[in-house]
Amino acid sequence: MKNNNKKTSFLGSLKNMFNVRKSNEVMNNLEEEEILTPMRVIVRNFFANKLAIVGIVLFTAICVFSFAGNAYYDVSLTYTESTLRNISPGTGYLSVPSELEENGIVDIQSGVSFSVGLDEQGNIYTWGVSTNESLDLPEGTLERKYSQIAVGDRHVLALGEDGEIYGWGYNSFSQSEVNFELEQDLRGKEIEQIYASEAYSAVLTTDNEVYAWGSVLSSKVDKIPADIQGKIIDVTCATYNMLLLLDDGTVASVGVTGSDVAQIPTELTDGSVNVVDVTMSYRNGLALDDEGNIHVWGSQTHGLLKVPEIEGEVLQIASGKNSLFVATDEDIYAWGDNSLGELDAPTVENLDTLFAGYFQMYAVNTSGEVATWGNNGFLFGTDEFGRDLLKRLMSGGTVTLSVGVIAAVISTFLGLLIGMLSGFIGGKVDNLLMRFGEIIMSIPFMPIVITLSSIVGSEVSPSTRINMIMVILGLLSWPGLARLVRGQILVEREKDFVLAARALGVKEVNIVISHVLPNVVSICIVNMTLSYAGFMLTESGLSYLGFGVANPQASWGNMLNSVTNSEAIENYWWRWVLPAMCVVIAAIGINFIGTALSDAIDPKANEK
Amino acid sequence: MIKYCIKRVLSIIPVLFVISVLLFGISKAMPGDPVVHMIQGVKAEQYDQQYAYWEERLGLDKSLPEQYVAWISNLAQGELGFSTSYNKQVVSVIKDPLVNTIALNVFVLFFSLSISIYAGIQCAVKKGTFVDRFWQVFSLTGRSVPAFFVSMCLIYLFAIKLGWFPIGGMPMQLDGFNLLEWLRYLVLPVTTLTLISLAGTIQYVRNSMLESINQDYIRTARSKGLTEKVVIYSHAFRNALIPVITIVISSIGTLFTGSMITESVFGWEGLGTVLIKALNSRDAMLIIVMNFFYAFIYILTNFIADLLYAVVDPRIKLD
Repeated sequence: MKNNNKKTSFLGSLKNMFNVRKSNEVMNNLEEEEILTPMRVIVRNFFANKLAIVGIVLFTAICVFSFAGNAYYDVSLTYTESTLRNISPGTGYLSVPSELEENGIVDIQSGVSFSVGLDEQGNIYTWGVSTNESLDLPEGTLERKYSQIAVGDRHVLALGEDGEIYGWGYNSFSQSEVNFELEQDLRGKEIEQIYASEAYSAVLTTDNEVYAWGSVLSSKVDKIPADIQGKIIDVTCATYNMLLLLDDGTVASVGVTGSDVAQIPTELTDGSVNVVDVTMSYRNGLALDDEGNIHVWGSQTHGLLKVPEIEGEVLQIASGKNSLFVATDEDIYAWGDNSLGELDAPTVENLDTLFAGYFQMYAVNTSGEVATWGNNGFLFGTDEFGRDLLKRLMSGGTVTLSVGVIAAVISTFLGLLIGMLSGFIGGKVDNLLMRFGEIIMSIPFMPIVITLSSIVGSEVSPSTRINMIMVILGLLSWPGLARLVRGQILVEREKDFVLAARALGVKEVNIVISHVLPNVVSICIVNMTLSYAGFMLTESGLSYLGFGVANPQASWGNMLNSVTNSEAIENYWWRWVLPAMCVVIAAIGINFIGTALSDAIDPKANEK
Repeated sequence: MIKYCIKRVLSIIPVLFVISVLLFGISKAMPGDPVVHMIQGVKAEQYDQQYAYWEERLGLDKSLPEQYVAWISNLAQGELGFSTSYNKQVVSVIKDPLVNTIALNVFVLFFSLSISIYAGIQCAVKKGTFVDRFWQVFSLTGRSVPAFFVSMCLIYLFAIKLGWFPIGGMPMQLDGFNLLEWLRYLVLPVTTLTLISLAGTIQYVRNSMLESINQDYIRTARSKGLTEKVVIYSHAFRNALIPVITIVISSIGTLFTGSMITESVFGWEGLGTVLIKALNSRDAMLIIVMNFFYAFIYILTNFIADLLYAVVDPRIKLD
């Protein structure tokens, strides 16, 4: 080893470590052997190790996924959409079967994650992702011919050409089957139209009467007042209310009376305008009168009352869950929430019909071609609040990865500082610091971390809480490294070059920084890498138990927090497998890098 | 030896003192008034009277140093204090969970040690072969997998899909203690904890065994013509055992602390579950007593490990 290497500063050795020194000459083995600094040997050994390469690839991949993904999507943490809860991974919500397109589209209706189409020959088609068995068609379903379809959030009704109602999908409130009571009501009546909404269904008979069934106990949409029963010509339904279009051109509402959508503007109820069509989103109503004017009312959320300037003759009105649409002979106008791209309506020439339901929209032109927009699916599914798991994983990744790295930096910095103080000053300071370290080490880690984070984190905001966790993890785990560094310094300070430096009159502080520090840096880096993986796992465990990162902030650990019962483990595998796999990939990557690093600095490994 | 013991015991006392002060400080820094928590639902006219009664009974009306002295002297006499969330003595709160945790971890310790000693020796002897590389990858991966994930996978596979074992919880003991039923509940948590702990211990045994295999006395033993089995198990392993004792002893510490995450996934009513419950209900006394207990066990087992070193290795002199 040449002496001039020893003159290099800390920065110089860092430079060496990352191999930035230029060396273009071709050297023979002997020369190479002579010139390599210890740091270069480490770097060479490190990159010769396959484990290190695998580790770097895995870790880089997961970092790019989290940080780049999070920056690209600009994830809103507070966004929730309960109708989209627990949807299994999959896309293709907008992939209309070509056969349906060729045969001529009569109707397309959408649920939360799937759509059902009806062609001119009475065949039905399904596409998208099955939620609550919504696409598990009963045997013989595809052989029959149908005249109508109706799709709720997670169930499907179809009116056969034989006049029977067939249903499948989510049936917790028996919304997808016609029960005995209803059969009595419908005896001798002919069905004009069928409807389905969130967990309930309804039929309109040719006598202009409406019967609703399913989850109607709290909303009471099945209680149709006697004075309007028999006058109903059309129905539009959402979770808490049904809007009824009556034969005198007025609109009536049934269901939850206090809701925004139940406050129908007076001009629509007193007969001053003649309504020809009505539709409703989750909490807003949209009506079209015979003069081509539109009327909007209901909740102010998502800007649904801010109607854009509409030009041209109105052809049709339609609605999604949080969006409203007006199709004119010039363009399709859309307003409301655009979280899932519901408003990105394309320009369609010669528009024939617009089909909108939940988050999937279809526009069919007069030659039978379909243009689609809206939600095309969730690659990784959704969680219990209907949040896109992919975005959640990205945002959680930034938290989990940075909590780990900052905790590792804090603990390494403290360990290095305290170890160096202890090793160099010695005496009472050494004794005191090492005793203190021993005390910290003798309190079991996990219990005390949980105790501290539940105490410190209980009264602060979720984002401050993340910082607290970083600090707690860092503050509790320096003693191990401090001991290592102290031991190393005790060895290094007795070496000849330190003695020589001292004899030359170099200040003690400078000796530490430029002569001793570079020799302990490698231990610190290995320690930091391995403890990084440990901190990531600790943070995940902490958040899993509910003492770490708190909602609405995401972390890979707290995404599993809600998976506590066997039902969730069994039915919603993506909610626990995917976040846990992210933790595993990141931790394996870091551990591989750390192991390869520690092998690389191990002098025994360099022996030939 | 005796002199060393006395010295060590004396050095433990200041450590315990500092820990107790720290933990006492933490418990006092906890937000929320434990008395208010305790007398929830008391009628308004009796509230002040009840508050004063409980404050005095829990000793909260005194100054902080006085409270500390009262607490620590009670602790020294074996009186652990009063749990406000369970409304009974701490001793009776942690008695049953302690037994559950020990039972769980005895199995874990047994399996993890027997497997890791066997696998560690195999790795060292067959260094560089497939067996070695398999266990290396296994332990590296094992160190990177969170305990809750292993638990959930086991639940999914063996409890939900195959239905061989219960999903979790504690066995019902309506008609007496049923050992077989009890063991069925233990299988999955024990498997989880064993898999997790194997990762570290195999590596440890392997390294310590490698060190001893390269020693001169092994070469001597081989040159004497001893069979490989004798060389490995009675010469190399017995010397490799010394560092292994460290992990055995430190694992005894975990016999008591238990694994909070695994216990909580499986609903096993051990000490970890009690601590989580105590934290959720801000039961200060229970929290600090448990942490203090953990620290005490840890220090004690370290002390025993040091003594055992000298017993198994006559070369080590304690003084």
